[in-house]
Amino acid sequence: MGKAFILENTPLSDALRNCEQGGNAAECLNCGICSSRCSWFEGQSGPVPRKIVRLAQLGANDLLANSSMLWQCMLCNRCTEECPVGIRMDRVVCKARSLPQAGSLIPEDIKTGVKTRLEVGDVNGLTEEEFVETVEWLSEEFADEMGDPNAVIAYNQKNAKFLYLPNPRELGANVLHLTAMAKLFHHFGQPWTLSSKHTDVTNWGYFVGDDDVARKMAHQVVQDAEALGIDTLVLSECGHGFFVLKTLIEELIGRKPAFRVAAIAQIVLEMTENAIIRFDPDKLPEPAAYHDPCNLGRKSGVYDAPRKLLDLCCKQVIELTPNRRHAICCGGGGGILQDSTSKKLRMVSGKPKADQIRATGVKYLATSCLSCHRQLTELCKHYELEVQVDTVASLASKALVSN
Amino acid sequence: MSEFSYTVLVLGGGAAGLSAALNLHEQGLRVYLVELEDHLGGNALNWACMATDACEHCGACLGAELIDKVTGLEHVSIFLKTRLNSLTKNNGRFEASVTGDKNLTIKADAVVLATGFSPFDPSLLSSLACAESEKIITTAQLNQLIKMEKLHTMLGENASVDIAFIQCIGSRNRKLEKDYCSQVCCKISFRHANKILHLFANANITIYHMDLQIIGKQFRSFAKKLSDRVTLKQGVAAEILQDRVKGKVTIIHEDETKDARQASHYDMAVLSVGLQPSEKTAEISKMAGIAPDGWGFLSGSAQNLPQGVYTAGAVKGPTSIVEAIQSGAIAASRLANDIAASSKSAGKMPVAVFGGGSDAVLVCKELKQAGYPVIALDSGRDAALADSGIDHFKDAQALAVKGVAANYQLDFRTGKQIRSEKVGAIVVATGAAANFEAPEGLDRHAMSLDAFLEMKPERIPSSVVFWLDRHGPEWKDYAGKTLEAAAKMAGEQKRVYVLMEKMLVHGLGRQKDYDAARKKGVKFIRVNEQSGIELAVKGKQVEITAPDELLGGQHLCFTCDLLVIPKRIAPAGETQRLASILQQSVDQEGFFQSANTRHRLIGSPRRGLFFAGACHDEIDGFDLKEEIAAIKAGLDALFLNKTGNGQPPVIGRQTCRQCLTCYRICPHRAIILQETNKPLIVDQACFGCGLCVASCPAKAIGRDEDQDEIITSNENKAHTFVFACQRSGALAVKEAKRLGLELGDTVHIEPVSCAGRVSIETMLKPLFGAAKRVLVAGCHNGNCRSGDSGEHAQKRVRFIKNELALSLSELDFIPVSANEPEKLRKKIP
Repeated sequence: MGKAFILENTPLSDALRNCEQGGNAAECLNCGICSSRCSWFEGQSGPVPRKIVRLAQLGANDLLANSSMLWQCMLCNRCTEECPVGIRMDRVVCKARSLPQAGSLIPEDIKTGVKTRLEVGDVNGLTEEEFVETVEWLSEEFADEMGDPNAVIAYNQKNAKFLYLPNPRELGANVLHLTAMAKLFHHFGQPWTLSSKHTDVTNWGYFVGDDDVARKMAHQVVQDAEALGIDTLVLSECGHGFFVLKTLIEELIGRKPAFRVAAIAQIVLEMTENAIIRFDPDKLPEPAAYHDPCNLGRKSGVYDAPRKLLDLCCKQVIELTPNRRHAICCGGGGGILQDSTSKKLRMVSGKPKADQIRATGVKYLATSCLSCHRQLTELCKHYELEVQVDTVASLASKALVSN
Repeated sequence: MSEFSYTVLVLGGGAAGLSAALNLHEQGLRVYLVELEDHLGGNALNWACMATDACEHCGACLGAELIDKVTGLEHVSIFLKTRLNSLTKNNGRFEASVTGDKNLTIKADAVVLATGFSPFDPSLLSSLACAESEKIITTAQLNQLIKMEKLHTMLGENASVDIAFIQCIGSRNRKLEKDYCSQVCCKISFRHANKILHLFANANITIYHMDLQIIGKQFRSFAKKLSDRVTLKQGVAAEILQDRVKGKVTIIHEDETKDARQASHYDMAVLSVGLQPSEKTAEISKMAGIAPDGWGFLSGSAQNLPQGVYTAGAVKGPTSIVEAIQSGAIAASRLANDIAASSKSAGKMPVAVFGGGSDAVLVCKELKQAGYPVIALDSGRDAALADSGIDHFKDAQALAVKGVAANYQLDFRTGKQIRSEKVGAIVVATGAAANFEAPEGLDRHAMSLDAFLEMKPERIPSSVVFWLDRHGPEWKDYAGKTLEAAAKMAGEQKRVYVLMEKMLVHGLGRQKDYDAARKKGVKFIRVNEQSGIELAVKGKQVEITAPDELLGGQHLCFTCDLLVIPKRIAPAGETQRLASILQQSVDQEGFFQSANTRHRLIGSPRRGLFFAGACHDEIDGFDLKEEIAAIKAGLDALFLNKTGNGQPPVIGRQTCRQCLTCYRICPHRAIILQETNKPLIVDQACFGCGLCVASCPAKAIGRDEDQDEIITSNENKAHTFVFACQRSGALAVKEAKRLGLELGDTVHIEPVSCAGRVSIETMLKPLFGAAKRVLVAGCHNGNCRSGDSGEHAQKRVRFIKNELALSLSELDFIPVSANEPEKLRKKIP
């Protein structure tokens, strides 16, 4: 064993001890339940959840800040779902990631992304001009596709019913997803808009555990949406974005926003239940399975809406086992996916997911988070699974029947 | 009040309810016993016998014995499959409306709640997948498999099976609102592991645990022996996977050697499920006007119960079978005393109390309060008695204990004087030896926990390290006091560390104390090797370096102003000498009282001799009060003259040759010598085992001055003739019949008072008649109520076989317990 570590009372242990919402590492029993439930593939030198909490419990900041486990953790909270004292791993890990000593461990891409987002409003650095240019071009294409000159993708429209907050990839690598969402909104028959100011549903402040940064990013979105006077902020299929803007928002900004927040899948389901839109499941005849994004499911309690929607769109839906509260993380959560150097790591962290998918024998996989979507796509390719991955909302768009 | 006019309703026919019913009946009360299930015995009946080559003291067989005793009682009415609809009180009497075969109203003067516990249902924890695999079972299910001898069917004859136990399923879990230790599960799993190793010699057993609760009578030595044969892993699993490896279940756990997790595969995973209040408890306690605690147990003290309402057994909190039985006896005794308090104080016989420490003081005070004249003998080792205001003999040293219960003669030296006193009963409460030795060079920086707890609050320094488990598994009372003190100090913004190997949270509120301590910032460092702890004086402080097992042995360094260490507990110096005067054996660890459950928790094979406190068991303040209450119950029963066996054998005046074999071998010291050295069997002290009858060379002892009166006529011409002990073999036969196990037509079961009662001649008679085979079905070694009486029978069997060259199939001794019906059936072809 190496040098003895000097224990002392430290700011971290005090902060954790006084944190009531799951960050109470001081209370850890060291029962080891979390270690048995980690989504990581066992046998690999991945995170050992109990040890993370143990270091926090002791206030061993320097040991914690130097641990590779901090950025291997996917913040999926599967480990602490059965914690007997109610600790939540994402709270502990995020707090630890925010330690000044841990700064050097933050992946470069995440550092840059945070900086860019704060400066420009978009994590990929998409400027307002570029946004306007892209959206206007997309809007024209969309009108052509729909064969309807009234089918537009509007932005900065005041007092719209819906403000759609896209994932940055929808204005870059995956513009087709934005068009698919536009198709759904168009069929809702109510005014909807994008915002040129804050075009990004993500919040990497959460990944780095910096509450100030996370708050600033959330504020940008909230203030902009309130200025536009919209009724409902509709979040793109982004797990951690939903978790921050829906589940954590009040705690983060200290008040209720003046509008409703919902995930796109929830809104589509609502529209279906109100008989405003409908689907033809014959368009999606193959059995599909649903992957629970951790941020949406376990961390926010949204299990049913995406399933119900999928059930309406697809001919047959099957379950991965385990699912819901016990769902296995895709292996890309917690900021790992956002680190471009992490591919090799992600293929290890995602192996249990790949094994699970293989065991079901499905050909179609749906999820409701674009990060999960990308990770699952790469996993299927890497492990040679002939599985097509899609998001729930885009499947809904495909199965949509024009009235 | 005339006999059997006062009526008591006992709710629950498990171990506690049966014990209450039995004791109430002995007190002359009428009992209505209401049980929801279709059988008596509760959970205890489904428990398997844990004996290997000898009894392992689980107490499971005691339930069956109680069923047998209570079922035949004239003034106990039993209602099976009967539920309580309502319970009201009118004019001081209870009225219970119950539904069984038909609707009934039972009127009673008092009610005993003994509704017991239910094992935690692990299907509530969906990640354990126990609903989906038959390879994932609970300890309760394992008991059934063992009892019905189905473990081999399930696991195959494969000797090297891999089995995992996972502890604390449904215990110590705040999220499930079960933040208490279920107290019995560690012992259960250890005994199960031991049993499985007995059945499968090469089984690989792993026990995943949080903190093994290694406490209690002889359990330290048992655990130490077993720990060489099983793998103990700190850390429990909350997820079991199936089909990773064909036919196995997979547990993911930490690899303690590196920063990784690993998968281990097992043929069977056993979930060690906790105890929770039985389903009906909430409803019934509401009817009775009792508020349950936060977990649903009726743990409140007896004083706070509504008048006429009593509680017993696991409904009060997790207990073992033996404790539940004691609890039933205590409830019955309290009830009897409450209704006859005024008339009973007169005429009680004096009781001698040995010991001068705090245990003895409490015993003396409580017995005096209960109306027993007390003769206290202070050995001078401990001064507590001297300051207590209780009359006592100073520096008293017992020299001889003659006579029997209700009529003991106690010779002792006090100062220079030798005295002799007549007493009715004896309570040994001599405490344990507790020694403190500061670590080398740290005399000024270390003190004992006892001394620390006496310290004035303003003198307590700002940083303290409590060092538990220094002398082996810590004593639960010390662990509990440490948790309280540590939490209190941390609440005062002091720096507190606890060095420990396993945190004992044994006791209903202890897990909460532990939770509070951690929440307040007490840091617990887990050290498995005490030799790894390094201490150094740094000015006024002590610097401690210790490898933290929870971080893979990472050394942690911290300082404190004061090191607090519990004393080392060992049997008191005079234990051996006093034990031999009392003609009692000590246990494997050198403490008073054998571990034999037939006389636990407080009794002995010698009637009227009781043990209390640390001299014989690991107890805390709560336990000691329970023990004293149980002793009071035992004394009441003794002086009610209800404990005699009714029909003791007598020694023939003409035939006795005064060889005194009987006097020497009587396991209960029930035979005294009269003036002319004529032995006499004293009814009140005799347990009726009949060892003397079978052992008398002159055949002078019998029930009616006649010879061997066991019926061995074998009129039914049975091929197999079984002499079955009334507490084991005969009960196993009854249980086999209840379960529908066929014993065959050619078997004759002859119940006997004890295997030791079966003499050589008795064994041979059926063999010389029609029987092809004679079996003696007696208790496992260490489980015989009459000490080694059963072993005498085994010796006789060996002797006959050697002399007559008989084969096993012709004559054999079968060690069996009441809850081994299938084992017995298999032995009888």
